[in-house]
Amino acid sequence: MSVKPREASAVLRAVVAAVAWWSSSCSPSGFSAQSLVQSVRILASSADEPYARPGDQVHVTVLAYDGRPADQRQGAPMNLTWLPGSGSVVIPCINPPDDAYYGCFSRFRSTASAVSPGGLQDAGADSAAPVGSQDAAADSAAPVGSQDAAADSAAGVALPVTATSEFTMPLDVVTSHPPVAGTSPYGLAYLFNVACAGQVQVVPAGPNPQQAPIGCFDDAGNALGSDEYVFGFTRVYSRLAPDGGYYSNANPVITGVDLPPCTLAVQGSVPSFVAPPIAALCIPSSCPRVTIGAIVPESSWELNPLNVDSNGNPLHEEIWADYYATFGGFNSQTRLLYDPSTGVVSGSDTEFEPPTLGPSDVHDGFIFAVVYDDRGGESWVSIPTHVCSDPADPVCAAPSCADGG
Amino acid sequence: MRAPRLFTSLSLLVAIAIGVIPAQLWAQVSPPVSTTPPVDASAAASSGTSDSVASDAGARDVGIGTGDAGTGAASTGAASGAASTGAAAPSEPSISLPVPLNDRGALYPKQALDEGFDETVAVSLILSIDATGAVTKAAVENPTGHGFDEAALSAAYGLKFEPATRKGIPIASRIRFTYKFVPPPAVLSGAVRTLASDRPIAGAQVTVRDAAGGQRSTVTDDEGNWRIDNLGIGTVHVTVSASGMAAHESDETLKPGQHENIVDRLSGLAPAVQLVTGADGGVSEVEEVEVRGVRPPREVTSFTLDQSELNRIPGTSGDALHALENLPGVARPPALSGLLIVRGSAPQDSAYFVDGTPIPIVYHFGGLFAVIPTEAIDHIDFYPGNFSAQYGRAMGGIVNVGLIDPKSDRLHALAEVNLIDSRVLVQGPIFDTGWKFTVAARRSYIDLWLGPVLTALKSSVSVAPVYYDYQAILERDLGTRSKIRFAFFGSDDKLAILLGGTAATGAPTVLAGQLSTHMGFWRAQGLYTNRIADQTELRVVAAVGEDYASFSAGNIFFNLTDWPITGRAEIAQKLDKQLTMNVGLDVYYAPYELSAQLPPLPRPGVPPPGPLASQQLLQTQSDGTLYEPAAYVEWEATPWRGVRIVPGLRLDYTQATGAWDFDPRIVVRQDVTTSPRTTIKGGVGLFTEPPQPQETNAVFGTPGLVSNRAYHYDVGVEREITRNIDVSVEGFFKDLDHLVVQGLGNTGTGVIYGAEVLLRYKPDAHFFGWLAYTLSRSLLRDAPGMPLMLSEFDETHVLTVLGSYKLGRGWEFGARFRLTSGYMYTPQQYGFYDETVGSYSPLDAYPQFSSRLPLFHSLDLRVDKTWKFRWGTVGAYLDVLNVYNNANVDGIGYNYNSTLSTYVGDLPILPSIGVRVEL
Repeated sequence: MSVKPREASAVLRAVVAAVAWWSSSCSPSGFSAQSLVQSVRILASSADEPYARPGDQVHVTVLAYDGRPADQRQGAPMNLTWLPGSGSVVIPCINPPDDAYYGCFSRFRSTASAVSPGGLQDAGADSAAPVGSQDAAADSAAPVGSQDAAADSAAGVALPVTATSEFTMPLDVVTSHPPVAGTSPYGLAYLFNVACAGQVQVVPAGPNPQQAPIGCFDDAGNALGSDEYVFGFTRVYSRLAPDGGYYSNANPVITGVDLPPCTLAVQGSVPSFVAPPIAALCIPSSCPRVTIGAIVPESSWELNPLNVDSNGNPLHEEIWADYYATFGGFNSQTRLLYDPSTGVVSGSDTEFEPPTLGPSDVHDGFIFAVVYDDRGGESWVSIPTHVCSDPADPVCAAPSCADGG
Repeated sequence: MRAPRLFTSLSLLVAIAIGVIPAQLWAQVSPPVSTTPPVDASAAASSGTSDSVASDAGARDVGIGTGDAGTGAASTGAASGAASTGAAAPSEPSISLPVPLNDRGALYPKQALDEGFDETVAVSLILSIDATGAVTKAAVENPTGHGFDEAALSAAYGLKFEPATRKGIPIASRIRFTYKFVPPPAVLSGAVRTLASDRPIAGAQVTVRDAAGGQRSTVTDDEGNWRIDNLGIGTVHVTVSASGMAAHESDETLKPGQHENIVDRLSGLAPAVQLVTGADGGVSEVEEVEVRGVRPPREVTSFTLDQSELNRIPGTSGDALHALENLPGVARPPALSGLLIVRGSAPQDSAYFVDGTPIPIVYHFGGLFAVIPTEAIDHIDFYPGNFSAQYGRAMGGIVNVGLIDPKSDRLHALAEVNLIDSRVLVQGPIFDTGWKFTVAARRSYIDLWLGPVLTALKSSVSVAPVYYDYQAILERDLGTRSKIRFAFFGSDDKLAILLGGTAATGAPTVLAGQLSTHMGFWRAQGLYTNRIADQTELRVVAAVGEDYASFSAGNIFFNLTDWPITGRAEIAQKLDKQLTMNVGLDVYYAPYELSAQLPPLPRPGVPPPGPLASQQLLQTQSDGTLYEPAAYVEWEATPWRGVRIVPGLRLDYTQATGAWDFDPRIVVRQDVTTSPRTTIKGGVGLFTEPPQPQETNAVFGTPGLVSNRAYHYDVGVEREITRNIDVSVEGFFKDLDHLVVQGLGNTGTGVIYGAEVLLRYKPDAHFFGWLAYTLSRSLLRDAPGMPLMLSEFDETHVLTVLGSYKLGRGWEFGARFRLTSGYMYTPQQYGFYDETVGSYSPLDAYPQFSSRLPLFHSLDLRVDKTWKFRWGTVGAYLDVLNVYNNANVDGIGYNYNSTLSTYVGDLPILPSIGVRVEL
């Protein structure tokens, strides 16, 4: 018996259908990508000295965004808070046990609770004690940046929030760290920040040593979840170099945005850059992907003195970019820009996938590209983005390079 | 059917022939009457030889002393005071002695039996007999003790005599009357069955030889039973033989009045091919592969499965090693994981062997099939715990796969085709050289159809898994006492997952391009056994080979190759009838090469690595040698009836740690009853396991490690309920310490405890099945001061019920139902945002593995159909896993910030079909 081509095709289709059904019964369902920003989010944090010297004044800038619908934003605006801190000064946690961020929690909780059992929101200017080893002033949580979050545009589009605080790297940050065999002396500072569309309060300790010492609560005292609350942390190191000095690192520089055939120039300075608006036309019959990528000059690809190859040759930094958007998505969120040994990576742009729109629908929002190096360096660029479905929409006309390049 | 009467008569004749029953027996037939005249008529005249028989053969459990009046002495009265012995003196014809009328003898006293007394004893009594012939007084002349005096007196008062007469007139008399107590004979009975399938063997020859060279023989009846009565006490040598089966010999120590029942299980001379009468009256040929679930004699637990069960268990696709998963103490492995979780231990804590040679893996990718197909397996020994000192370097269980002995009668061939793979096997004699061979091979062809299907599905992932295995055996018997065998076997698994699109964009993410694994092994093995003498047996197995494992994903790779040289030699020396000593060496020597390029472990003083693999890959290239010699000694003692005590000592050296491990162990089994058999059992032992090679690696490991350690405690009982049904219950406790914890060292401790129940119906002509239930708890502590937490491999409840029924006409239907606790997992919650690398760090539940996935349950069905032809058989099967497509859960997945989760499903309904041809 022979099988005719059409029959074979039917058999194949049946097999394919069966396999598809079968495989679907044991596959996890899909989740929204991390790149889609539709909640309160902290997107990046950058210290002007990722490797600082003891005694240096370090400035830390954080990028946050409130991606919630406009009505929710106006009802409970997002506040960005350093823990603990006062004004623009943040109190770092120095050298926690095992260099683990949650090693700071017990210090933080015991100190803060002792001073202000009621929680941080009630704390006076002097309520929150320092959790670091240095003798910084005992200041309270310092809300910063919320004034920016309130500055929404008339169209109801939230604007990115950036805020900068500073701290002094303690003089004993290195000497107070337990020595680690095979590693040159170093110290570590953790900085904690909270994006909360409510009030930050100290919460009782539980059996889990990783449990956060604070929570975000609404006016009724209900704990808020991931849509309204992010508890973030960043690290700043201080490490002795073989020559007796200290290691240093510069944050990567973003010189433009690649939007073939255009290259958009950006404004701003490290770590925060802003690109000119871009637009995309997405009609049901044609919704092309938009190739986009952050441009980082080779000068940012520094030598990494703490990394050598198998032959002992020094390597450079690894530099990569994470992409976020307030709508749509990307075919790949994380892209490598510079390989530690081979350098610049060609084809490292990603593809933005605009959302499907109904007739006459438009979307306004942002694309963010956060660029990292593997020594704690970080910078970002915010790209205002307009997506429409009406070919007559003048903003959605075919991209020209007039705005940037 | 047995004919007890005939059997008794025959036994009696045999007993006479071998002198068990003394000649006095025949005196009873016509008791001599003493003619010694009593001088004093009022005094007793003792003589007479009234004799009583020592019982018939039916009185198996008691002994009877023989009343022996007048064996000599005849009192002639006070006047003369003389006593004559020996031949009766001439007597006055006017006087006659009393003659016993009802002498039935006296029972060999129970007290004496209990005290182990087994001698012939004579007790003389002085009896006063009145003129009516009644015994009015009895006195022991020389007390003996041990209950003999009381037994003689009790019997004497029941005697009735024909009174003494003088000139024809009855008169009172006094006589010496002697009871002779002969130890009661023993009875030896038993059953002869096949080792593999426990089927009775009719017509087997059973020969019992006593120490003096006396020999008794019989044959088994239709049910395989046999019995020999009236055996003398002491040690007898029992030889059981049957056509086509290997003879079995044993020594049994018989005590007075003892009824000893023994069961001998014979194995086939060649791989057992038995003709089994099917339900339809036809004769089917069933190849047997024996799986000894647990019991060689040195271990605590025991049960036997044969391949006629194994390749018919639903849900296993006929794979023998998968049948292990249905035994008590074995947890349900994660789907397609190929892991064997024994009594709550981690998979790496169990070890796998082929005829004593260690092998690295037992399953092909994902555990679909074993690396050695069922057709090449003769038996599988599985020891879930408290195993013999001959095995070491493991804290969990032991699996030892025995390869088949090639058939010697003619050439045989087998081929099987299913959706996953195809296999062939050829075996038989090599002309008339005395050598015989087996050649087998198997290859999968998933790659031939899965790739096109995924392509048609427009999947961005294409998978190309390929596996194959092979076995070659060359064997020759060197006389009747020794055998030599060469085997070459191996396995190879390749898996390549091509990630479409990623490579084309030129974006080298961690999984860019191809993810591939390749692993396998081969062994060239020599095995030599020699029964050097009746009391001495030698077994040597040595092997060389290669293990290889490689993994690559983008620019990450890991390659490990080693060339193990292993040897095991054991001498079993019977030191005494009740003591055997096994002394052995167990050597593992493996040069290795390792090369790897892996993401580094988090390094102090620098930020954590980002999400991309190109960052700071850590390279290592090294070679070295693993050298782990060991020696052990073990004794098998049977100091009294029904007991087996097996103490053992094992000494291991691990070069990687420079540490010596000394492991004492002991196992005790005691038969409480013999028919039906009830056995209580227990064991305790120390089991050490060296750290895994990667744990002692200079780059990735932890310095200063020593071996992991576990104390095993077992206690249980086995009971035969009927000939086909038995039940076993066992409790176990494992105390773990010195466990290696990454980054910490030997800081881990733990306890694992539980109970196992197996209710089994052994195969008969129609049905086999069992119910296995395990209740257990596995708890670990990473370091002092940390909480004791459930281990990742804790499965509290594991219930398996399975059965298979032959419907006739070649049809057979089987079902398996499994109900088990879900796997442990560590829940994650929304946690923290790590701004340095741009990812969320979840808040892991504390302690780890604090939650359990939902209950697992699944019904598997199997239908077999066999067609018989003159040239061979053709079989087909349909094996359906998870018939009602229950959405079982195998794991849990989280979104990027751990706010959403979903279950990862276990296998959905999965049919498997196959066709098998045997010549």
